[in-house]
Amino acid sequence: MSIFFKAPIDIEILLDGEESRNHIEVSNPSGSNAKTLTESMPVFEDGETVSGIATLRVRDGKRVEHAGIKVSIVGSIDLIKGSGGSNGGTTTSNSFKSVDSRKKSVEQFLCLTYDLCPAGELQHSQSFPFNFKNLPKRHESYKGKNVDVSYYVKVTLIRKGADISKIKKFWVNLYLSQKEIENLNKKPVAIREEANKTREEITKPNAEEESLISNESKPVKLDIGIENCLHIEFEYAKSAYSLKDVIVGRIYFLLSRLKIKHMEVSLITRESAGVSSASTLVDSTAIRYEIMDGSPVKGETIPIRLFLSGYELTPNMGCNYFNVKNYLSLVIIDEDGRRYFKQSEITLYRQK
Amino acid sequence: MEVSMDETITLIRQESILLQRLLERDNLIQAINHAVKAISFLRSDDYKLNEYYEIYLLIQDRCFKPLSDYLIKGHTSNKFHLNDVYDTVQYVGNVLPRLYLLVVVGTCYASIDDAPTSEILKDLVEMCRGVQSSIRGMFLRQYLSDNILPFFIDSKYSGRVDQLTKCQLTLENFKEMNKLWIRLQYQGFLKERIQHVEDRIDIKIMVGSQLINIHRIIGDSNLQFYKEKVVPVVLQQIIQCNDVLSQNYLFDVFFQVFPVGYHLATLKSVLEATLHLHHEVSIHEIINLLINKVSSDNVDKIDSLEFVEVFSDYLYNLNQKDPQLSLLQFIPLLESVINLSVNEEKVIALDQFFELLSTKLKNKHTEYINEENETLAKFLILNRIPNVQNYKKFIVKVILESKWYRTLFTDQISGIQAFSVNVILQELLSCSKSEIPIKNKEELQVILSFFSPTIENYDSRHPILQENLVKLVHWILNSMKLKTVNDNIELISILKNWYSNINVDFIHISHLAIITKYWELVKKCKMIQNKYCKNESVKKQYGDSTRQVFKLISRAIQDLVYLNNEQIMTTSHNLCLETATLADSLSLGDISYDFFVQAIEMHEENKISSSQKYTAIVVLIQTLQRTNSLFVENKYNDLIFRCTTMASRLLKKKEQARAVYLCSHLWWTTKTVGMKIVQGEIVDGNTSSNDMAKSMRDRKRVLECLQRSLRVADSILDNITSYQLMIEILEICLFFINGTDGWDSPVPATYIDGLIKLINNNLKSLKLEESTNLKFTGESDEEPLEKEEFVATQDGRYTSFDASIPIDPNKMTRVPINHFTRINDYIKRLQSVDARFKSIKL
Repeated sequence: MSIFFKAPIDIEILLDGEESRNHIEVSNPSGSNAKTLTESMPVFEDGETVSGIATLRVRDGKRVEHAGIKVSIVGSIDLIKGSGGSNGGTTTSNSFKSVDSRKKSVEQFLCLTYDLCPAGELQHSQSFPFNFKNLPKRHESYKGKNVDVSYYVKVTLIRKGADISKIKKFWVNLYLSQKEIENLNKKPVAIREEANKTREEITKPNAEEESLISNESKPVKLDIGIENCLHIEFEYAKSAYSLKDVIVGRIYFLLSRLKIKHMEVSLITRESAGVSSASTLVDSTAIRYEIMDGSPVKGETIPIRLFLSGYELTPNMGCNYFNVKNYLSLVIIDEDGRRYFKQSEITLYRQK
Repeated sequence: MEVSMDETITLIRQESILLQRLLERDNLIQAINHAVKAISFLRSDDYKLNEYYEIYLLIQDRCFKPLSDYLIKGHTSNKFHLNDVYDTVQYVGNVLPRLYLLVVVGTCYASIDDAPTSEILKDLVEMCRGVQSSIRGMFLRQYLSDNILPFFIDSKYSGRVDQLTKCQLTLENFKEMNKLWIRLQYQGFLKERIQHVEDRIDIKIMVGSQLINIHRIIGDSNLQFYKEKVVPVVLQQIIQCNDVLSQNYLFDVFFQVFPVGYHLATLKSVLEATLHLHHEVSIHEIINLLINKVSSDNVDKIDSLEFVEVFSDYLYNLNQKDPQLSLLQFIPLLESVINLSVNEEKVIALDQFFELLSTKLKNKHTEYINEENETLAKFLILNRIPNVQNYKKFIVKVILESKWYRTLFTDQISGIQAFSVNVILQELLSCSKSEIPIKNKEELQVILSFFSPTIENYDSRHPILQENLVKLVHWILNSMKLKTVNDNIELISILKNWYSNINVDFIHISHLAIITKYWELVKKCKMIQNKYCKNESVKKQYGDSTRQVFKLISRAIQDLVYLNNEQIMTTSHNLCLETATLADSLSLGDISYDFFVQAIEMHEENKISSSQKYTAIVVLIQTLQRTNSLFVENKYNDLIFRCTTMASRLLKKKEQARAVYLCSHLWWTTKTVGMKIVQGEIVDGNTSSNDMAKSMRDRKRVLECLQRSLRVADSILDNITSYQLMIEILEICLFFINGTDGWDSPVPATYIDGLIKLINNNLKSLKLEESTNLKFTGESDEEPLEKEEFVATQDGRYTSFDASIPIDPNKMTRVPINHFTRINDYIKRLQSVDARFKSIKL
């Protein structure tokens, strides 16, 4: 809207200490109307104060009459239009706007606003400091295929006709406390058989193996196979990893009649957007890592060691509207190009 | 995407140049990316083995070397910490480049001063499991082992890694490499198998070098460690891999690499391991490798008794574990072990091996194939034991001392026995001098029972064996080294009875040898008697022995006669006469007489074939002529009378005439013919007493003989033969005139005159015949004789002749005029010097 009319006023938002803060490069989706491929944003943590100065510059010495200036800080979950939006569409008011034009906000879990200046007239450029002290941030920033979690500071000059506003995006990383991590590792790991098994998916020969997966902080063990063809046992040291962790494990071949070309481990990030029944799943492979070359025989043990810190990974997260889960997938490719795979869920978290 | 070898090399060079440039600019991450690109060529299946090796070397040289140099320098100049680099390279997505780089970085890291060397090396060995394809895996592990070996043996790094870890890591590498090596053969399509096997052989040293590395780590004086930590692992791997090529090769390397002392100390477990080899692996070859290794060193170090025990236990276990193990495997093994443990002085120690084999053969469930039987037969000969110096002595000792060897032998089928006996005999007989004395009856019986089955089941289709079996009797007789004559007699009797009982076919030959041996004994007795001529009891004792021996000879000859075989009969006859002569020479007239009688009886009973009779009688006459001791109790008279009678009964007139005129000598003895033969020396035997006793002078009989002979000669229709015989009779007459030792000739001169007249008459008619014959041949001059292949002989037959030799046609028809002429000349000459001949009218 404001493209057609040159706005009579420029709003600039500067966050305190922005220069010295950690920044994160976030790639803009190709379909968006962003000017650059990536966007750099300062990174904040949960409970951190967000403060800064909003500067409003009047163009050419004109006077700008306004009904007040306010600053708000917003945390919002945005879903792509049409995906699970039916629910969100009815419950959310129109005033919730998404920063990505293709997406619309389904929930603003954070929205604090206060006035910087009462109604009046701006005759010259003026700066207003703002401060959201010890601001709790419930969700981690996320930019996915169908869903975003975004945070921004928005300064609005209320006018008759169209308001003039400016937003400043920032990024939020949530770090788990030591206690939370401990709890995480004690949590029973849900390794369920996927309902929609494909033909090649490796089935689990023994249902009782599930009992092996205890809720102690024990290694994850799986015993899987295809009858008379392949029988392997794999083992990861644990089921929850921090983003800077190393996944250590091993694969033990109890039976192998396949002519295996190679074997990989991949880390799959699964984004599930929308409300339960009508959710949209998007898988993206964050890591592909070859762990074995050639065809082993019975009795071979193949080590796995995968450093995570070098990759851009998304920690597990979730709320009513979406969740992000991580899976370790073991893929065996035989000489005829057939793929055999087995996924097991792992938890990734961010740790200081 | 096919990339040629040249392109590959160019591409790798390019990557290596980029890598080195980036390193110069300290851009390690990018440099590593180029290294990854270069290594990625090693991920391909498209290269031949030698090409792959070339690429491998090129990458090592062009990429890894500069990278390592840079890493060490960079770390020491604090540009980065190698620990971080070690983590960084683990982000490489493909496993093969990642592991190569990990080894490059890891070994650099491990070499710096405060690095956790041991942990890094362990990690490297462990992570290399990620490559399970054989060629790629082996080259990776080869690179790994080349790079970690310095940490194990270089004194620079001593103390960084403990001995156990060094060995464990090397053994781990060895195990993994062996597995990959074996897998090479079984991957891919069937048609590639042959190539794969060749490839395997080409790169076997990669596996073998791991064992060499272990030896370099532990050295030659770390027995306890070797015993506990190395041997079990190595053997387990060799056994478990269950691969023929691998087991053969690895055992070879294993035996070669480690010192003999180690092998001796772990002999039991090594042997135990060989019990579990793949069935196509030849155990005996493996054991031979071990034995060769062990014996290549100083054998004296080995406690042989203990050694033998270990090996015999081993063979026993082997038999227990696999009773059906082919003899083709078992016997060579047995031979090796016997060779190793043999002691020619104590052959009884080998008994247990024969027992083992015997037991094994008894428990067999299937018939052995031909090859197995052949192997068994060859084994039984026992001549393939290089450590035996004196085979003849050895085999006789074995036969004499080893009960189980004999049992083993007896249990075999006759074919095997025949084969083995034949070769054994061949060996034994190859030297005339026997080196093994047979000292007593028991030994002889053992030897005889050993050969019994062969002779019993002897198959006449085996001529060489027959010959050897015949020679056996000589060998045994030669081998008998006994003190007393009586012992000899006893043993010979055993031998003789054995032959008689076992196979009649051999009697005629064995008895000849035995009789000869008896003669020897008789002479020996005589020698002893001569030596102790003063001692009456000795003389008597040996006199008795002599008589006993003669009895035995008589029995032996009787045995031969009973065979009723014409040829043997003549031989027996001659044996009788020889024995008679022997007895005669010992002045044992009665015994001599008995043998003559035995011989004459053979004539009288018509046992001698008619074709042989004349010759036999001539021999008899000659033998009788030579006697000295028969001139008592009319024995001589009796004998010559019977002899003359037999001569006059010969069927052919020519033979009869000759035999009878020869008999005339018997009635007019001369002293020059008597001889005594003692101990090979010919002693003039005409002692005065004999001379007196020997005085047969019977003119009447002599004339009778001559007259009879002449009558027969005259009655022969063939006038040439007749004439010839008459001349011969004339010669006899002349002999009597000449050789009468001062006695008057028994032949009166008138008789000779008549004879000469008769001869002349005959000659006239013969000459007449000859001239007509000459005419006949003269007429045939028209056809040159040379061209004829056949000429007509006097009796009308055609005879071929050799055209190359010019033949006087008279030759065939010639009357022996010259003979008579010569005799006439002889008489004339004698007449001029000797009055006795003067009365003869020519």
